Amino acid sequence: MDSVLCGRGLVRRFGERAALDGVDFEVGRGEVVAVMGPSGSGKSTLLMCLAGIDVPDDGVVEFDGKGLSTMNERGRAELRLRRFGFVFQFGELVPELTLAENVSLPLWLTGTPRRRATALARRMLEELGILEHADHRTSEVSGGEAQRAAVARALVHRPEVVFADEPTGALDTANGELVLEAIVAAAASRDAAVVIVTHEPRVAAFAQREVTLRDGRLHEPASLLP
Amino acid sequence: MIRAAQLGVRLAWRAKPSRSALIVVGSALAATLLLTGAGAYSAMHAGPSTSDTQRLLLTVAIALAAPIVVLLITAARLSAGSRDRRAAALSRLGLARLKVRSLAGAENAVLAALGSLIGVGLHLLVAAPLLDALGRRADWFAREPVAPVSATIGLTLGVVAAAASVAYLPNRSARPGARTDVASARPRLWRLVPISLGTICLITATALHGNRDGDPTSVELAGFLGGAALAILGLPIALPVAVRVLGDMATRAQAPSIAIAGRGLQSEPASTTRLVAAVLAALTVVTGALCVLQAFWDLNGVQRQLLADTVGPQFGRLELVPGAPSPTEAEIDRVAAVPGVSAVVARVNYVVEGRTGACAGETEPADPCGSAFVGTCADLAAIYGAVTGCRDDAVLETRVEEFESGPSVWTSSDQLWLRPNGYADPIQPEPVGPSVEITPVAGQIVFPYEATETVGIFDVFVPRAFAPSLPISGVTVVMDGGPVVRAAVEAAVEGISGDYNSPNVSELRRVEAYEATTWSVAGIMLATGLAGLAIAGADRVTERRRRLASLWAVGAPSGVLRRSQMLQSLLPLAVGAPLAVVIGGLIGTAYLALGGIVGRYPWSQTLVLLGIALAAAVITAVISQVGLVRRPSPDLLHRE
Repeated sequence: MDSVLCGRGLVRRFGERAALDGVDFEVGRGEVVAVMGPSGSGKSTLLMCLAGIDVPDDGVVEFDGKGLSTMNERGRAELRLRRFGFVFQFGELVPELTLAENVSLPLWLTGTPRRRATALARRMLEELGILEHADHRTSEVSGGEAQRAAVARALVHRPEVVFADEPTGALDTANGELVLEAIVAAAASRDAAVVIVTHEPRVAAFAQREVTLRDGRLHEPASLLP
Repeated sequence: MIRAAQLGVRLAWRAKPSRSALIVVGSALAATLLLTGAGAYSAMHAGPSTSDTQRLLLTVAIALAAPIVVLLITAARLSAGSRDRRAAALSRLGLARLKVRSLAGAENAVLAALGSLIGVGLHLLVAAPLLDALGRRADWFAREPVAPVSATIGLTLGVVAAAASVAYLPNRSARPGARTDVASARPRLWRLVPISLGTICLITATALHGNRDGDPTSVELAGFLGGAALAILGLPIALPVAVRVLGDMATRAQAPSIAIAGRGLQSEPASTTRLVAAVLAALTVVTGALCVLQAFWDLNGVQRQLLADTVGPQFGRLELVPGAPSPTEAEIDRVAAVPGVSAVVARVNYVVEGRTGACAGETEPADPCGSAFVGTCADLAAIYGAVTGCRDDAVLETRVEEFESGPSVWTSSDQLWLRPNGYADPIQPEPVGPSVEITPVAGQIVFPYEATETVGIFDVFVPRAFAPSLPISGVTVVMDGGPVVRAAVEAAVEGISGDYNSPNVSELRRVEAYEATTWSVAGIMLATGLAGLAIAGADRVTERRRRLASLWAVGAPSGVLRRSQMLQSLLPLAVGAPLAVVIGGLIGTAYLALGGIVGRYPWSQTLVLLGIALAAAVITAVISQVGLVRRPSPDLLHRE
């Protein structure tokens, strides 16, 4: 399997404490990897560095053979907008926008005409089973439905890598499973790599591979699947 | 309840420092402005001010109160989101709603008390210099404009009480399980009632007064005052309706920043309007004041004094005391030698019998009389410039050229309720000295119309040769415009017996003082309103940091986020500002109409004001986005 995203020798310090202490990580196209570890182990920091949201103090992150550190802030934002997808812990949709508008946002921001962006967003919402809420705002739907809309937003522009940071952290078991199934299925149909950060084994069970972080170090080195 | 209040006091110190600081700043500003207003009123009351100037100050105080109240409310409701979440959590714990509000009230009160104390100090520091320029210029204040102790205590407590009471305002989202229902955010149409009623009252009061002369009746006055108050207060109440419509339109935009802003306006039309309410109040009040001010500037007397003060000529008059010695030639030469003095003319003004018309001071003339000027044609030319038909060998009647056109519209400031004093007097006949027989009238002198407006004219010209024995009654000094020559002549006439009347510019000075007051009030109101806008804007960005961080993380350009936040602040202002100007113009026009005046609308000044307000609002909105940092902390996106 081709490696689409990799980090080598990643170090990230906050004061004296090293959240990442020489981490090597790799994920291939279509692969679902779960990054496990207790609270404060550096999982989310790893995700932020891999996604170009945060910049490591040392080490390199490469996407599609290109180093993220060679890009400026604008270039990294462009990359995140066009080729990455994100599912945050609490969805983080824009509450003033409808679900359809929230989902169409990445397309809209990259210049897709609004009508076409909305049509694609509706198709995505239909795929995730929440089309009837397309014109509702986040305050008018349940937490699970809002999180599924966040998944739709992460996938609508057919990203090559999807990052999910504790995507079920704010959901009950049933809704959590719905969301995870949606992420994995939608990613599989698009051949997108998925990096899920979680501390819950039941979430990690959806992944093809698990890695564990403890005190900023990977204890089970990641390797590409055969 | 007491425990809840104690908890509130503790929270005041432990809450977000930025929010606490903003409440302190808001309260300090409010206390400073209120105390300075009270100090000015009390200093004016102790002085020789007229009821008109006191009425003016009261109007200023009311005008300033509006943005102060809005600023206080804005400051006291800061971080409403996080505080609502806290209130909801406390409600879930079982705290009664009143206790939750007491807690918030105590928190506000402590911070407002601190702010008010700072405000007292600021007032003592700034009041005198702030009002000095205005007060001294118009001679309004008898002493330093410092608020009396009783007013200081009362107003300080008032600020604290106002800040605390904001916490008791109904708050939907503080209820457990409360949700923001966007559909319910659509403003009801009743919001249009106050502004509509206000407009109707203003128009009705104006129509009732019609073209009738004299002061307005109590009904008309009540209609005007009530209408003005309803219109000013009704504007921010009605604006959410327009903002919601604007929001509906903006959501259809192609540009994401406009569409996101549109959705924001749709969801919170009232709260976004509250941000700009103070600026709108400022625009309304100041536009109304500018209309009235324009009418002041259009007064003949003011125009005349302005002309005399800038271009000239201006006329000083030395009136001789009957029986006192006339000025010597050396004294006359001393005055004539002052740079800028073009002529010094010895006047002989006398009453003539045998003409119709009232003598000075007589409302019902017992004997028909008129005024006479005894002198030479050269004297007339020196004072009046171009007169035609003058002859030094015949007694002549006078006539004024027909008035054709001119900038002046109003002949009397009596038509304005706030009357400038010290109207320039025409030459009055002076029945002093012996009487002489003069030969019958042989012709006419024609004066330019402006002569009636500057030095006044007389009825009959008598050549000096016809009455050489008459003593002079006074001296007219003709000089160039400007205060320098005026002061120099005042110095030169010192020591000459008689009363010297320097060219009268008191009305001009008074109108200048009104203008300075208007622009000062505009500045303070706008600054207060914009401070509220900046404070609320910065708080808004802080409140939404996590959401904005997530948008940044998914790659949304920071410009889009910035623009959408700014548009949410500025679009209500863009709709409201023209409305405020229209309402202000209506109030000003109605005020003048009740005095029987159809005023010119001060378009240029209004546009300048509008431009300044909008430019300042844009700058303020940009500054308030400082909290929206280029690269938010990743911590905002994840919580352990």
